[in-house]
Amino acid sequence: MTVFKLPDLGEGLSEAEILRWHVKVGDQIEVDAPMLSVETAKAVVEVPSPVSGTVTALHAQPGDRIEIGAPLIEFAADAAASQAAARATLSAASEDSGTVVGHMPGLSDADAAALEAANAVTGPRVRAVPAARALARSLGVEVGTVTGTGRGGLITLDDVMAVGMPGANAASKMHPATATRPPAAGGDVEVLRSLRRAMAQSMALSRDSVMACSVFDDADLHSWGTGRDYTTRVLRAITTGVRTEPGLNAWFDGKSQSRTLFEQIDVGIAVDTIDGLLVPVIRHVEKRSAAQLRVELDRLKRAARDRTVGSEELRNFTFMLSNFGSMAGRYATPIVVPPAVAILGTGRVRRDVIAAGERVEIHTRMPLSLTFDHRVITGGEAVRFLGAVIADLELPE
Amino acid sequence: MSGQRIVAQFEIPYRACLDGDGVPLGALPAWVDDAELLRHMYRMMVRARTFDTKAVNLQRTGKLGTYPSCLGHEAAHVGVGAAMHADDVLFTVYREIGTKFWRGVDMLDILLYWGGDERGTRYQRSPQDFPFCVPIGSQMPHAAGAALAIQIRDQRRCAVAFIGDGGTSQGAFYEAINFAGVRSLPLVCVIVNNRWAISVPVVAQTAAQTLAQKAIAAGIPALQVDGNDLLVVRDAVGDAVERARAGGGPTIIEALTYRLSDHTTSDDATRYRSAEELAAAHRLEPIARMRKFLQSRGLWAQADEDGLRAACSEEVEAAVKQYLATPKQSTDAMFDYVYAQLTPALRAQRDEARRYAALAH
Repeated sequence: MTVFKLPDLGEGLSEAEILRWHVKVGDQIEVDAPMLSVETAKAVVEVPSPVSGTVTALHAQPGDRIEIGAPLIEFAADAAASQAAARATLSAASEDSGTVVGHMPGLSDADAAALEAANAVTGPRVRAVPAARALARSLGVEVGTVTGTGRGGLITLDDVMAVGMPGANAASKMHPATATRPPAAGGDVEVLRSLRRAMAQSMALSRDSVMACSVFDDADLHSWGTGRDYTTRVLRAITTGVRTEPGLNAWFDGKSQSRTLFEQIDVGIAVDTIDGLLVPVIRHVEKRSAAQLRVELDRLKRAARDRTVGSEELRNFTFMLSNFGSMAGRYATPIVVPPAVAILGTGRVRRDVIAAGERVEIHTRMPLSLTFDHRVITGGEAVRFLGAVIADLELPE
Repeated sequence: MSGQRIVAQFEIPYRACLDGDGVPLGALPAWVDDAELLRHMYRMMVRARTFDTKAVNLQRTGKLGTYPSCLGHEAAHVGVGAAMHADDVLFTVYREIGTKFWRGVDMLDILLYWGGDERGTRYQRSPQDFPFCVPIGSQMPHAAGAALAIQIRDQRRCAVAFIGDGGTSQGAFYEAINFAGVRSLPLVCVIVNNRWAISVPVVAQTAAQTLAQKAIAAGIPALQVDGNDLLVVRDAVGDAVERARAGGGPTIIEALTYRLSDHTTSDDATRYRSAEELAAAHRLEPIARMRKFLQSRGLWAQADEDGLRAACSEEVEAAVKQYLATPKQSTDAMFDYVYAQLTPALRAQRDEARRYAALAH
């Protein structure tokens, strides 16, 4: 059996999208016959068959994005072709790129595992860009101990920096592999991936572009009945706020110094998951009833926590809401994520002692924190928005 | 009436021997009577194309690095090879496998080179020829230098240099031809105008009507030929080579052809050129044209074609097997051939590479 893995079809690419298979499982194919069309960052590329044989498995579907080196297709090679394929496999396996790697005919999984174990004893191969090696040397980091996040585990400059310069508490981690210096307690370095990495990037983008200004106040919920649904009320209040100050439901492009105001209110809801922060978007908040909002909210939160939420449902919010107070926290300075221009945070709902006229009373109140991008929203607009939100929240059920 | 008069006038002749269907346009050069030479030249074009097709497939399946196809250039490349003498010196860009094969370079060498193994530039049968030159235009000063050496040594040889249409915009090109012109060097420069410098068409490359006319500023005779016409390429370059070898100075020949392939395997030409343009160019491609000419003279039968294709495929397969079975070089190879004596910094790099190579296996 031969497993063909996606080779680097350009120069230094990391992935490709499957466009079309020209074969299906069970097909006989000749070496060099058309097999597959893929699209890389550079080009649409026709990939011919690397061997003559029978297709036994396809590991990707049209539309899938496949990383370089991932298995694409398996063949049972013809008797005549198998020798050549084995040779190709052997030869390719010794190449750095490791782009075509298969099993030797007759090599069982147990054998393969044994080989892998044997390799593990001699130590994993270290692949790093030269600049990363140089940086590692200057930082005193043994490059072999760095976890590579580049293509095929390639160690990048960022990876070395994550180990060698991880901020203020870096000192204890400077020589993680040095036997004479035990790592500090809980000192394993974790390179950010996926959601956490996305958060790091969008927060940095916000820091580098948004001129954030936050304002705080409370909504008095004393007039509410029982069975309160805070989030749907807050969504309705946002709609009211946007009607008062449309400038907060907008995108701003700092490069072209242009803003786009939206009729449609699509609110990104920050959802805390085990893997990190997800922001599914609830569309047309201005058109939905409270009941509809609740159904959609529940669906999105569930989908976010199961990680079944579609990428379309995570894009293009026009306003953002963080109800961090469902856990703890009274006020915050929530972060505006461009191109949106504002975010409302709701703190923990609490019973406060307040001055009601000349009397002291205990009222339920919701702390509100509004951050807006002062490049494009004036302070007046922001507080008028917040005032409208509060007025709407304070209406009876 | 006034003080104005014409002090110099120039023209660029254009030559072709065959039309697009392989029909002679007039009297053919005398050497065309050599049937075996014609058949050999045709075979070399098919050989180059067979290899070329396989090389692209090898890249697509992860067995070869980035590769620049020569599809459509076969007449321009083989014609130049056929016009040279064995002791001339060849300077190429990176596509001219048809010329290299003619000079005796092995298919294995070309595969090794594009597989990242510098041993692929150790040409056994034409050791004086220079390797592929990827930095655009940089081969031109090398070629002028070699031509100067030939002149100083008073040898009856010449340097032959290829350059592409995009390359003629480079300073190195102008400097080299200026030097060749003023010193009357034995240099033949073949501009392979395949109309596209990656995605830049010739009309966006230069306001000049022809690329050949750039020779006028250097005082070098120049002409334009149909680069898909094997006969005229061999004939025009042959004349230039003989003149250069006899001390008659340099010549610049612009060969008009068309890059039927992507620029390299990293490129996707459909993004910047039309299917109609490509289809029209396919109708003028050189191999079918030459085959029709041979057939019209009774020099080529279907059996010849079948036999040739089988032989070429077999030869390519054998070279590929040999290539895939070639043991990898050590990392020292990156350092060993750059300086006669390694500098301390390079020595440190070589030693570092050795340490990591040991980790990697």
